[in-house]
Amino acid sequence: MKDRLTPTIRFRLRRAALLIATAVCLCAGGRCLDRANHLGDVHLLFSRDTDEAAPPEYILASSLLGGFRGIFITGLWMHAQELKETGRYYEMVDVYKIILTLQPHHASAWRYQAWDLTYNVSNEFTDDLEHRVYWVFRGIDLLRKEAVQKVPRTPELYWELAWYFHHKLGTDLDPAVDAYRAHLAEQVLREVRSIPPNSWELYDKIATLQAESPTKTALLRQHSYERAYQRLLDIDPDLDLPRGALDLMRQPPESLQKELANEDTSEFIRNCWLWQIGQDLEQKLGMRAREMHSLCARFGPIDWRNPESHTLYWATLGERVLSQARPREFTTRYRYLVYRAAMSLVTAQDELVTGEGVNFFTPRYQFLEQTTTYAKQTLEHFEEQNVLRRQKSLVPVDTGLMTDAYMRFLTDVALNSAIDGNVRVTENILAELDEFTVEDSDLAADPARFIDAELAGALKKLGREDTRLLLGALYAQSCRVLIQRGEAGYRRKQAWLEAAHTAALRTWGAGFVPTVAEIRVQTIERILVEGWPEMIPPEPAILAQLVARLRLVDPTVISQPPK
Amino acid sequence: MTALWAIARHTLLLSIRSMAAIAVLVTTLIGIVLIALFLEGDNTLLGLLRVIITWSFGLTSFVLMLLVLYSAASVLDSEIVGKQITLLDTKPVPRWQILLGKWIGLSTLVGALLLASSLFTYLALQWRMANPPTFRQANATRPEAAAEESVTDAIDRQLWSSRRSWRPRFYDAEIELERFRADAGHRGRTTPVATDDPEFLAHLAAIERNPLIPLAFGESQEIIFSGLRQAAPDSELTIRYRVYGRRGDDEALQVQHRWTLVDPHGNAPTEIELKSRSGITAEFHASARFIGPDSTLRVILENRSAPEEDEAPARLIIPTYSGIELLIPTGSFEGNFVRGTLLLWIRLIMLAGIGIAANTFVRGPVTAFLLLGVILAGSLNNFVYRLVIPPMAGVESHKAHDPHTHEHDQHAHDHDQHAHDHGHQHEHTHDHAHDGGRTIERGLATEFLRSIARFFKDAVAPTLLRILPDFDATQPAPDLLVAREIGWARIAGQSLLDIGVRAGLFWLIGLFCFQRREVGLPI
Repeated sequence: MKDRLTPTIRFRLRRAALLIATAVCLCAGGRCLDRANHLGDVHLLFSRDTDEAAPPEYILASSLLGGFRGIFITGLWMHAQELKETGRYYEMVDVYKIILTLQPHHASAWRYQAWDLTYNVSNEFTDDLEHRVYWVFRGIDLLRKEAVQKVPRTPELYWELAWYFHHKLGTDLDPAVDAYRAHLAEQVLREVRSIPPNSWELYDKIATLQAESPTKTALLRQHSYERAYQRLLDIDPDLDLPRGALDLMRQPPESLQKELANEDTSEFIRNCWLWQIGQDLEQKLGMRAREMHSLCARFGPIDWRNPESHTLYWATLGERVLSQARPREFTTRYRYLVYRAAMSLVTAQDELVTGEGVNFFTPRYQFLEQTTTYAKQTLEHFEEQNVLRRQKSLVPVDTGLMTDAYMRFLTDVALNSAIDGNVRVTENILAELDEFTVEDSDLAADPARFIDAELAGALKKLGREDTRLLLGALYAQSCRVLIQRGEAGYRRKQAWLEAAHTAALRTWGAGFVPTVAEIRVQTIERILVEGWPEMIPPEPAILAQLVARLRLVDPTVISQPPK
Repeated sequence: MTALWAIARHTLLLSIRSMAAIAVLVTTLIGIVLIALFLEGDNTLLGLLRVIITWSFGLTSFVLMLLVLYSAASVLDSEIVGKQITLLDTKPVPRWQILLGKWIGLSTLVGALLLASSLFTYLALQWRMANPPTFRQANATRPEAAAEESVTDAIDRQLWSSRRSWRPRFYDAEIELERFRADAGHRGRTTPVATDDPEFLAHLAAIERNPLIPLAFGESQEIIFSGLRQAAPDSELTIRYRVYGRRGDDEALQVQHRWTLVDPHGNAPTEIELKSRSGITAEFHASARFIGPDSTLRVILENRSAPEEDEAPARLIIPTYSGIELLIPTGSFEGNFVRGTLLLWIRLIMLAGIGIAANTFVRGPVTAFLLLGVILAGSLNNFVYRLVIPPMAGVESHKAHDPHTHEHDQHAHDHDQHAHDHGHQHEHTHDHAHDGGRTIERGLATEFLRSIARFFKDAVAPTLLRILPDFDATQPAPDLLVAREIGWARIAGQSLLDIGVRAGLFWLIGLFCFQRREVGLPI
């Protein structure tokens, strides 16, 4: 056979065989890359002392172009800019991806692109809420799912992420903010599943499970549960674990019911479920159960649906990374965000409408002690930093403003808790506020007087006419909340109206302030007849919806059929 | 002529045997697979398909241009260096046939490779449409069925069809004539104004040259599309448009406007209120019943950007040359796709022709450098052209012009105004620093230099840039992305320009050199 092949054919065959072997090696190498990256991560093989912690495929892509890399990247940036200016975002995103593959260590590239997607591109879709939400979270995902995983030693990325949650999702500056919050809440509900905030200790269990079993195979082949898993597989060979663990716990198929009664098996399934939550948290939200647990232990049972809880998470991580990577730098920006987020979590009062119904962010007074402690520590910390800053001729932090913000926070909590009827919290807060008040006062001794004084002060500043307007506006706001978020929100706003009304009566006298019932009727008449577009859009469908809901919730307000 | 085809066949086989063609084909196919698999787009199938088209054609044209660069630089040179050309030269084959044969051979090769790549791109598109990736649903409450229907609808409308483009005119000749007659009367002209009056024709030409039409808040502009003979009565019209907005001295991010479609049958007009981002192309759809018996569609664009809280109302600026187009469905995506491939082929044929012709008087490596220069020039031509003459030069300086007096070339006006302002400032400085005589002298010299620079910028640079190859003109992706028809007339025109003029002239020079060259001797 060998003699029958000419040298040329033999050469070609050899060449073809070598080519095939090369291709097979490349494919096999490619398949092993993920695993190799993971092992590198676990065994700390990547250089963690510098920012060059990108996986091999990134290093390869960025080295291949050699000296032309810079020119090529500049061209890509220009092209991306042109695509953005002409509205071709569908192509811009993929150009961005290539840029990041070529310069993965460049934190500014990650930050710029994430900011561009979250703030600029999303803003182009003024009438398309779905796309607007998509672009906001595309920018956020770029940071939390990719940037901080690939360049974990860059604290600026954590700060950026924390800022997006605080500024884009946490404040009401963007008209579509409700949609962003609802999307985040849905995401969290999907990934955290049924772990309520008060069961936060489960995050510790999740983290332990993940540390013990870094891979799915390791989890399923754990020595203590190997038999249980084998028995389950014998009954149902198509069993999908750990992904299907929750379904299995909720609605076990008949064939497995007997086996699930076994304690070993049920514990195994539960661990699978928790382990899968941990994986999903990392892969889809970029968050680690260990960090979530330590934050809950520090501040209280955090509701992860609230954007400010994510601000807290990322700013805390950023502060730590900065302290480790560049210990001499000031952590002011990070601490400020933690400070603001912690305070927001206490005063959270939002209701959200998500695909799964209405979710509430009620005030969490459990956070109060930790938050006030942290706030006081932060104020002291800023004072200390200011000494150093002055030595280095840097602009000092305005601690006066920070203190004002803290006092406003305490006042808000005191008012909220008083209106919610939580007397103990009000007293504690007023005692705290006493410490900060310059004048010699004893606010805690008479909380009602303080509340009245606060509201009365605010109403006096407004004047008599504007107080009437304010009361009407408060009721109009209740109506808007009724349309958007349902009865619970309406009731909460009503409590505010009544408190303000009582204060108005004391301030201006009964002769001038109409009764609550009169305010309601007058406001409804104004909305339905004259229209109050700043509060409720004067569209027939919306007005009809308002009337229908009011008939159910508060029938005394609507006496006539809608016109 | 047998010799011609024999040489072409020989060139083709030689190129295939060199394995470069196979390598190129494999690279392209792998690239297209990777593009179809790994690109993400903007979370919509339409966006993803558009990226696949753009990047696949980009990759194909890039790789094939490299192949042409390599093959054209070596196809004749290697024969001259290896002395095989001597054998051919002893045969009774005219030298033009040798050159033309090699050109045909190389063009056929790249044509075949282009066909294979395009076919693969088409299959990739079909596969992606049949297997769309799971797009992230931002709004979970949105019904899936409705979402899918709107996705398919958008793709059919905006990508998977072929729509002929019509450019508008911004005046009605009869109305303009009436207006002109009235103006002429005011000016004291006594002779009647006819439709072919030179002054009136110059007036119309001035309107047509006007690159920008500004509309203040509440103003409107009639836009006429005429000669729409191809529109079927049940077809759907699409108006794609790009307008700019300015609020005070700043750009207005959003421009609110109203389109009114005039019903030719006397029914009430249809009004469409829209908002668009300044400078970003938008589109809306309407029924073909609005096309009148005179094959004309009349629409009115009204500026509705009202004043905002503490901001002035926005001015809307229409770029007349490239701002508005009417698209009418005329054919299938597949037909357009094939024509797009042909357009790309024209570019490759031109490059092959230039390369082979250059081979007749310079060596292979020099030819390769020359072709690289042509490729760079072709790729950057439009970019440089836009740098020299920005397409929206007037928009920035469009502050508060009175639209009624805006009848001359805005670009020239702005340019002159700009030059005037600067000149004035300059002279003013000199008045303080120097005596009057020297100021006048320096002023004249500056003006002279400035006029030369202006002449270069306005006349020489555009002409030079137009002579150089322009790859944007042979790039099919921008048209395929919006389902704009690539007409046979365009292909014929582009062939004439690229193959007949650019490559043809070069080829004739090459032939002239080749006829006089002793090919048996090395250069």
